[in-house]
Amino acid sequence: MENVNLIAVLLRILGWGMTGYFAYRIYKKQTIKITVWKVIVILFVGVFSFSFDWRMSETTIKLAILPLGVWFLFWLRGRTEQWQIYRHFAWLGFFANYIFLVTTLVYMPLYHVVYPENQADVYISNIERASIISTFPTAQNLTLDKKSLQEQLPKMMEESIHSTEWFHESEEEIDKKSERFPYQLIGSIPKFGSGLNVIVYVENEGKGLLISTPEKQHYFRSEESILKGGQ
Amino acid sequence: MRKKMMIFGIVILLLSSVTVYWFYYSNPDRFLTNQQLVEKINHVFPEVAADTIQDIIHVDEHHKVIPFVTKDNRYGLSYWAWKNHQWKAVYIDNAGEPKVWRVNPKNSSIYTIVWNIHPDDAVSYMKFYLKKDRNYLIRDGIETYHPGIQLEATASLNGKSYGVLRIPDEWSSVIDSFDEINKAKQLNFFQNVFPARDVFFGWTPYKSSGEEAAIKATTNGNSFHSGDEMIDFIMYVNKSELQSE
Repeated sequence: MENVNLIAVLLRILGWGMTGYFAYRIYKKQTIKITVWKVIVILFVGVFSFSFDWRMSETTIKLAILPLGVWFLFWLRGRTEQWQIYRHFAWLGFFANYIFLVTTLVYMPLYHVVYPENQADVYISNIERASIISTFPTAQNLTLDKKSLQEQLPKMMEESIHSTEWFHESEEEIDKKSERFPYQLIGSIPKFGSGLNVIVYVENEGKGLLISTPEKQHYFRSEESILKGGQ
Repeated sequence: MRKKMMIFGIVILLLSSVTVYWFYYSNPDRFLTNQQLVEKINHVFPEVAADTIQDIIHVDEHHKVIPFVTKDNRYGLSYWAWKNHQWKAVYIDNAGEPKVWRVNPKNSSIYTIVWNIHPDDAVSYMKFYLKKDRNYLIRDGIETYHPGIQLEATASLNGKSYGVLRIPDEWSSVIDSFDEINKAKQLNFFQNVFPARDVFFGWTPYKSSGEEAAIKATTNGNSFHSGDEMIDFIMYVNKSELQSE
């Protein structure tokens, strides 16, 4: 639940750290000193910009175009003497957008290396408190076989989702009886630092997992069933 | 002088914190008497014309449900919460169709189903459902499939028109799983990627013979709603819409 996206957080800190470092360099060079909190406010305002956004699956790439924050500060303080000092920090704020752009570009491949999309144990890592609940009347009275799940997870293979086929095979049965995924796996925890949030459905014979994330779905198959006969 | 000011300040601080505590956090007073209840209900919602209080149902320390019969022989419900140091009617309904009271919206394990079914409808027991429709979506060649969900719980009336049922733990787990993923979706501005309607509540009433009961006297009510209390409608589902076992 409180699963933070560690890589995103670290890169954000790195981005701001770099901005802070540049601000420090500018600050040292200047002969007239202004208070630090003013520098911070100017930096933050300077970041505001009009940008072009591209959505690449889960992440948005922002290309800053118009320095709205800088203009606003200029309009506010442009005619004062201090502007000569302020403007460096205001433009640094705008420039920080490009630092963040670089961190975003680093983020995507880095995230996929640490948390590969096509591995089931990224979505289900800790199963200490996991259990199975039947979410459809056709479910058999089965329970989770933790040992088997633990063994199968690293070996599971991603396969394609046949949404229409699955939908119609259930929906068009005369008595509307079946559901391909009549169980939910609850209480499992995704890999540490992945920031993932998942719903895990388990297939009839216990050999398939359909995993929903906020953005996507993944379907994994195992060789052995992860369910065992109910008591 | 300084010392006096300080003491004065401390006294003010203490007094205000005691007041705030008393107003927001103090334990509930003794609950109202039946007569007070009738008066209060008819005061905030005169159209309902409550007459007899049937019972006082304890949901938790701060929440109670009071079924009542009106002057024109309707079976109604009132939902009470301890708020700002008084017992308040947060919802009043003169037809006791089942509803889900999200007693604490942040904690689905204490969501409670509440009903008061008119005896004329001859209901013997009810089945409640947590449902989600089966669904699929193909967008830009990416397929998603959303399994159907149907969880069931049965409640007997046992000769009483009214009652409450806390939702089973499994229901709460399923609700939480969707709540959490929806929260993450909103953070990512991805609300519309999955069009699937989320889980909803359903019910079917039955006669003692096992036939589906027709609900007439328990419908078409008027309701009064105050504050931000979350009370969900429960959809009537026909036996034919359900996946039988």
